[in-house]
Amino acid sequence: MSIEIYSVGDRGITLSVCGEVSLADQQKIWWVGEQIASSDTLKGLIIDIVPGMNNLTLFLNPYYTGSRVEVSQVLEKFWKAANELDLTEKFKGKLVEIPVTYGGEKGPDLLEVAKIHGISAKALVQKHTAPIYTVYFVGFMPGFVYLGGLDPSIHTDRRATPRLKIPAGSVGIGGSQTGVYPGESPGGWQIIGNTETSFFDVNREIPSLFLPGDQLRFVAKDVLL
Amino acid sequence: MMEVINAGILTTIQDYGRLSYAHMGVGKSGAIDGVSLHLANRLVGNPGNSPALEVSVMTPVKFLFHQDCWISVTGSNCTIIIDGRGQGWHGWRTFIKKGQTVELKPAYNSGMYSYLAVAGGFDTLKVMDSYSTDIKNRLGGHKGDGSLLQKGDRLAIKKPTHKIIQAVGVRAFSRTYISSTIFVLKGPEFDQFDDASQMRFFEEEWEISSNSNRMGIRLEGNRLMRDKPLEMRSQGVFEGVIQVPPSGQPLVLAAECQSTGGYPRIAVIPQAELWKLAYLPARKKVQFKLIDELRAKEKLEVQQQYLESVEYILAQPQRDQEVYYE
Repeated sequence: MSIEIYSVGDRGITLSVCGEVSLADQQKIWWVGEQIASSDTLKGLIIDIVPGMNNLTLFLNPYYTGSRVEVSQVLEKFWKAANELDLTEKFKGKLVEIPVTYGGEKGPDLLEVAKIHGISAKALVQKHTAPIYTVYFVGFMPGFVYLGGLDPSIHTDRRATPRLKIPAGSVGIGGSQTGVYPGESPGGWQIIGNTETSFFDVNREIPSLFLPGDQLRFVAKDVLL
Repeated sequence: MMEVINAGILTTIQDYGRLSYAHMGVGKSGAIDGVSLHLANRLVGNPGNSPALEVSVMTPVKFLFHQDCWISVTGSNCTIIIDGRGQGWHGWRTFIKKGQTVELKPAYNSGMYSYLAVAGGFDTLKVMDSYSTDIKNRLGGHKGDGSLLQKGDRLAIKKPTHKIIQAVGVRAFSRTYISSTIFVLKGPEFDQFDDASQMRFFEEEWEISSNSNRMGIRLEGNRLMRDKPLEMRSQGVFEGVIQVPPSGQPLVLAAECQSTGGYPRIAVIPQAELWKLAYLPARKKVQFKLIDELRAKEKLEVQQQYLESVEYILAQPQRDQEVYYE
């Protein structure tokens, strides 16, 4: 797959994969990120390594005097190497089960979403709990995971009017995405349930429960109708 | 101990920010004007990255000191009133006696933010390697949970590591900044905007919306349009990136911006120009001028040389009364 490498001002450089989004390319992105993290050539230059959707942005130290061309070359070299590897096993990550209470007050939009798709609430929950989702990247707010793997038959448009306040732990569907709001937030996703699992805790050694490449399965603790 | 008598609208503890957690969804936060924060700290003998107060000086703010303390105020050109009478000086360190108050008041064309540092630094919690207050994500600051300072809050002050003998001032980097011109680099999606929009972005003045904060500075003007809209995928973003959402009104990501975003980026403010964001109160006009990376680097070098000259002044034996000011 072809790539683009471009600067984002004086403090960013991005490797972006062209074409359709794929998990295979995302795995290469994670691998390139790992190589960059352990690269001696770029020591002192990299402040953060941030995967996005089929892209990788390096946050650069603006006071570093090294050349940006060198960074592009290193990125390109690692991307080429990634293409030679089979990364399907390497990036299984950890699998964490997330118990969810679906419906009722915890999931105010469950019935409506089921109705939109012409299925029962139970069937919707079944479809939502069946896949093993993959964490493509973490962004937007602390511990917020961008997941791949939502069953296309339950993709659901965001709510016409976003809610001003969604409680922490809300499990939602927004278009082709599903995920969890780790903290209280405004939001437009359809809220189908809630989990008590904390996705982000500053007191943990690694505050974010999930890191890119990890896997997640929702487990129905209860379905309230 | 320093007590908050009047907290104003937006007073927080800030340092350089939480630099390396964007991959967990945690943005940098930190001071909007890192140069002034550094300066305030160095004036009172602290490391530049020590926690100090960032004060929005659009409303009056007042503190009571329960101990003797050297302080410094840098950043916007607000009015500084010590003990209700004496006028304080920007870019100077001043000795405050136990029981005295320090008040910062809005002044004409003063900008948005000032920085108040105390010798020793404030003794607050470090969360994820930073003292910075991240209001939106409820991290850091004086309680560790992203709280703004409020009336009655008391902040402990660490014991200074060395003794200061006399007041010293330095020439401010930002003092004379009134032109509201910010030099920017082209953003990755610059070429997707139509020719008229590309020109307008640089030629027109943009008004700062009152709907701006530490997360983002909204600009108002003629709508910018793209004639080659390509799909954007979420990717890492940071302070200074200028996005154009579908409204066509640019949004400058500020210190407390989110870690990833997906709007097209027409321009990016380089490190050397970021401090200017602290001088843009609502309704002020700003204009962008294009520079290349080499110029941006030169500007950063000038800034570094300035800070080095400050270090030199501060390192002089104080009995020589070396004072350097405008």
